[in-house]
Amino acid sequence: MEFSFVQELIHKLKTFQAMREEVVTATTSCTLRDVQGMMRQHRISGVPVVEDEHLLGIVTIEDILRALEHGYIDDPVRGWMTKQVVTVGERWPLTETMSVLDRTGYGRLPVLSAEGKFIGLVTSDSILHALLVELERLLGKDEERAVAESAAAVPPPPAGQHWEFEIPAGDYDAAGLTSVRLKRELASHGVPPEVQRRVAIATYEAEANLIIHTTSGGRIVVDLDERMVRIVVQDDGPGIEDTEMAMRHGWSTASDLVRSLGFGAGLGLPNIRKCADGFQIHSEMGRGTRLDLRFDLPEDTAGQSGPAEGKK
Amino acid sequence: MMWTELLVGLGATALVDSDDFEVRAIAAADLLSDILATEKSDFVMLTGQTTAPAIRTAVAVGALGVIVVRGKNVPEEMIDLATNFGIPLAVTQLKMFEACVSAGVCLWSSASSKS
Repeated sequence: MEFSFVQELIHKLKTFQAMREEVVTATTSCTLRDVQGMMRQHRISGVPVVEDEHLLGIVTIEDILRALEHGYIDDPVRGWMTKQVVTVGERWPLTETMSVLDRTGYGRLPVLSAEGKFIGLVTSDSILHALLVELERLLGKDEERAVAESAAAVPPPPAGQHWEFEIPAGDYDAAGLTSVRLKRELASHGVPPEVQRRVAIATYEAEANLIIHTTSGGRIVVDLDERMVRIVVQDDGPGIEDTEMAMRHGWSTASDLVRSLGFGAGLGLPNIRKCADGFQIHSEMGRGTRLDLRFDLPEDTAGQSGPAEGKK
Repeated sequence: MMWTELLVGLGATALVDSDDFEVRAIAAADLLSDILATEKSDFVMLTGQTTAPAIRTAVAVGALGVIVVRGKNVPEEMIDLATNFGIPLAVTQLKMFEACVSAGVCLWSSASSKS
């Protein structure tokens, strides 16, 4: 497997799911000595400076040590706080936040909302805590499933691979995340590169549609067997008013913001249809949209382990 | 045309290094949707987008490399992602149109010298 269970877990989590919301903060009029007291009382090594929900800087233990050494510990923090603060977005995949923590070597990172407001702090401890909670939740689910299956005497699932991905609405930075993960998985199961590419492109377009156009995101469910890759993309709304129009090249309802990020050119659904060997779309206003896609595999190529060999 | 020849032709600076490789085509767009719709193979992507989705687009379509135009400041996040996926990444000061012209000249010169 390309991804371990924990890596997969981390990929699914968003930064806001691993942050601490109850954070001790200071204002610009607090003195460095006040902040020193906060640090001692709460046993923390950094205090964000926040006013009107906006992050203005951060005071770290190094700032306090310097103030003690140079004798300005009773000055207000506004003149001495660190103003260039590395922040992360609430909707960032946790993997990307972890890579920022790793790269910068900082012990904590302030988390900002989409509107730029300070909403919490993420630390190694808070990430570990979130992972443990998620792990416990999943293990509980597994146990429930095992009990249910044994009670109903359900036969084991047929040989094959199955993946499910949740795609949140509005998370533009995450576009393509599922596509590249799926491409890697297909490669590791012997799917030829030509099919990998078509699946990756169609999945990318579907992901982008869920991110841009849905009210609460959606799901991508993938099944691989020895004959084909089947993909179901489903969301709960708002639905497409005119699917015929949506299938036309260049027809789009995307905003200027979405276009500035490189999407919303009205090529998505036509491109998905072009890539897939089987394509069905059903959409109902207020109910949502479902895409059923099929990608045929050449004989004797799928379901094998190890990287595929084939033409580009 | 080789990747290194393209970098020289565009005056580009490599941000993620790689061994040299042959480039047969260019796909140039700021709209990632346009790149996703390309049918080219063995191509390098020119774009003004400096986001993680731009690198993921290159991975999905199998682009051999990515060159960012207009001398944009490429964030560390994009460089890290390109490194992780083994996608050679470079940046040129040329604007998109100028970069396309220069890349076309490189491709044309390379094809002429072979014929």
